[in-house]
Amino acid sequence: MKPAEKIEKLIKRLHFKASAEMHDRTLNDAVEAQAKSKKTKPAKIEPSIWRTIIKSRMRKLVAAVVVIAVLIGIYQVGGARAAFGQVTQAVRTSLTRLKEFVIEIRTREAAPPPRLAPVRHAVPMIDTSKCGYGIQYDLFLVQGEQADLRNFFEKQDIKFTPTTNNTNICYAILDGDKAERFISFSQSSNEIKLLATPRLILRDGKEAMLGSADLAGSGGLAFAVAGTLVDDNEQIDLSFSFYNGETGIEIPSIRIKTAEVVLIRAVKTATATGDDGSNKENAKKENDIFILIRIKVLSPT
Amino acid sequence: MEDKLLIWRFKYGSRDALCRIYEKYEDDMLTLAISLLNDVSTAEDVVHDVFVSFAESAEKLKLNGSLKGYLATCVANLARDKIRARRRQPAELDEAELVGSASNDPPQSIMCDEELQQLNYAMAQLSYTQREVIILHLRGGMTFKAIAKSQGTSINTIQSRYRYGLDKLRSLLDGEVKK
Repeated sequence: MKPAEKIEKLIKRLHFKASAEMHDRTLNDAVEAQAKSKKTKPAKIEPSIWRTIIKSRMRKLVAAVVVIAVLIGIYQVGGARAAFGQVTQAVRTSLTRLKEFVIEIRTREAAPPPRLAPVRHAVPMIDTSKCGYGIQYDLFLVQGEQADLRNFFEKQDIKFTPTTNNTNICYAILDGDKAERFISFSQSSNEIKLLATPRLILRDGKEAMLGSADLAGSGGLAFAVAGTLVDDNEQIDLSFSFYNGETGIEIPSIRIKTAEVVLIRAVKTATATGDDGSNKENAKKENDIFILIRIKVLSPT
Repeated sequence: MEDKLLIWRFKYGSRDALCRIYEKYEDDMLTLAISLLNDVSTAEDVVHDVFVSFAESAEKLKLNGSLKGYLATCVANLARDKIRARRRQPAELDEAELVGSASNDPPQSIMCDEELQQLNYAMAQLSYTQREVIILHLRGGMTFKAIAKSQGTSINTIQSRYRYGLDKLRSLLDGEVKK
């Protein structure tokens, strides 16, 4: 008599592969069904996001505010648009998976500004001679009152639009000049400190998944970003998913020019409680963090 | 983690996420459906309908367990409906080909192994409830508890069905070997 384990193994070996015809038919019908059922959710404009944050701090005695800004810019290396075209044409509609990119941000009250944990990622630094394009992340820690930063946004008339599903997360499209000014500001301001500029490779493929949720330890924050890049005559469609393991944002499609960048800002508020259970009002500003992420299109050789 | 992200993106209308989910689980679900139904074309219809319904349900979707388990449950439920319909229309569906005997249909099956064909034939001899538990557990990756919950029955019943099913399979396969 055959032992049960052998039969179990045999059953596990059962495998049928869908025919190409079935694959196409089902996938097309499913995509069509999804498109029909999809409802458009209009984004609400929230021009005074900073004021909202301040109100929130005052009223709810928010003890810690973590601000994550994701600056995503796409630009060429070497300045040759032709090269960019070649690259993006080659990677048209491409999403490539990136593995095990984990960022942990720890917020601790009455402690030095949190160190943005060095990014642990499995992918080595970009070897530009071998890859089509890559992602560069500029990770910044924001310290202090952020008055300069707020002034900068006001002066530059940078307004943020909330994402479709989370008003705490918003984004702004900056033209080339504003993007340069923002980068210059980040270099000159004492409020922003560059922590790391990790790079990851995006090879030709179908999916890009950046990061994974690893919320081990209290106060940890991890996130994942998935991006799509489509070049269409120097107009680029970007779509992003930003996910922290439990919730996130989806920015389905942002159309920008090659020189433009998208600044995404996520605000996470948390109320710290004292030993007596009361809220503490003043444990906050040192913990603000900005993360700037830029996608850099690299010329293949 | 990947499934969680995929589901989350899918819920917010990502076409890429839907395609990725489909491509990831298409073969698993087809294997499940064929094993349950012993009929390739009906199994394909089941998988088709499950994924189309899944695509339509993005906004309502609430997943407590694994994505694979959820899809497997959907396939099993629909397969059960098909079995009931088959009983109501015996002349039409009883003639459905057993996969084990459909070896001249190579695009669907990679069961070139004679042992697997014997197994598939033996599986077809089990009662549907036994077959369902065995397939959902071994191929769908579902726990007995999850199967019991999805079928609204006790875990002991599910475990009994599994045990008796395996015993019967052993006897049937033994018989095949002796021949």
